[in-house]
Amino acid sequence: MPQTKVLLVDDEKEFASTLSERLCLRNFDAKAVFCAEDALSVIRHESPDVILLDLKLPGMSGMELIRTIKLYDHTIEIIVLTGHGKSTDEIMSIVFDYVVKPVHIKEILPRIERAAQQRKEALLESANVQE
Amino acid sequence: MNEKKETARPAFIAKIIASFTHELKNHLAIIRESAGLMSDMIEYKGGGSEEDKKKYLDILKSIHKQTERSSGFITYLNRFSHRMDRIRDSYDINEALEDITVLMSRLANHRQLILENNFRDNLPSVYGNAAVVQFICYCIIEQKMFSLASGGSILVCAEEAGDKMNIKIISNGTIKEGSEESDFCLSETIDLFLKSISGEITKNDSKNETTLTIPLAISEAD
Repeated sequence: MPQTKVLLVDDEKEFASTLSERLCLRNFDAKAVFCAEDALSVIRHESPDVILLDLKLPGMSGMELIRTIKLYDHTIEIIVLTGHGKSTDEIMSIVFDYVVKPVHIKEILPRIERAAQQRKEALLESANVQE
Repeated sequence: MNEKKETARPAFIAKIIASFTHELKNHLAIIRESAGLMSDMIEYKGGGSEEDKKKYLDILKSIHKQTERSSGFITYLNRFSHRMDRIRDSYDINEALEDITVLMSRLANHRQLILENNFRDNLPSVYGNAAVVQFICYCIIEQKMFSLASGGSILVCAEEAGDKMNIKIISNGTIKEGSEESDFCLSETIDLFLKSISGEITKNDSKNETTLTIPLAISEAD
């Protein structure tokens, strides 16, 4: 069974790297990047299943990045992982889930698994439509 | 317009405190993940090799660094909050400006701007309302941040001028197109608060320099 590809996007480098390492220990194919530009490059080359995204990034707003990702590949699932306590209807209508930091990894794991499953189903559906 | 003016100050306080709490949450998240990684390594790897021990030490250093970061930020937040409960007091102008530049640096980072200070030693204490001075400085910095393109910088410094103190806020970098149409309405807000501290503002456009001049001691009658 292929590993779920998870991309963490957060300008708090230590946070993103540490969480990525913890996900790798749990058999995820996880990678951390620290700015929107690098995130878009990884998305184009590696097509992650799930993205854990901070809303405050240097250079591009989280919302702008979410829209860009969804425009590129709407099947990629995004979980917002941020220090901001308040989500908006606009964000919630696009992303898979919204989680406020600090959060226990046990709360993150089932969300990633559900998001990955949803992406798998969306990919299957779009493959069937193409056939 | 009046509503905007009335809400500008609470908005400023809210923005600063929100930025702070956001930062603190990040620190706590890093502490939690670092400690979690250490537990994971013991659980998943057994953790006995020299390499693992080095990793544990690095993780502990990271936890220590983050707690120091939080502690430093809390000190600034505490000082910033307390300035608002003293209408008139004797204060160190460098400390008051440092609070603002540290607290606004995250906002500047997200706009890819550098906010820096260059404080002179041995400046006399100022007697007056530090919170209002901080608010006016915030408004000036916010206006400059709004108009500066990515890569620009803003310098904040203070110097004694007779019985007054000059606070200079100097921007350096490319001005964004159309930024003069800023919707902040901060200029009118600044005027409103300037009177209360007997201050005045002068601008030197050729140097991109805005100077807030305040008396060293505001009299009780003011």
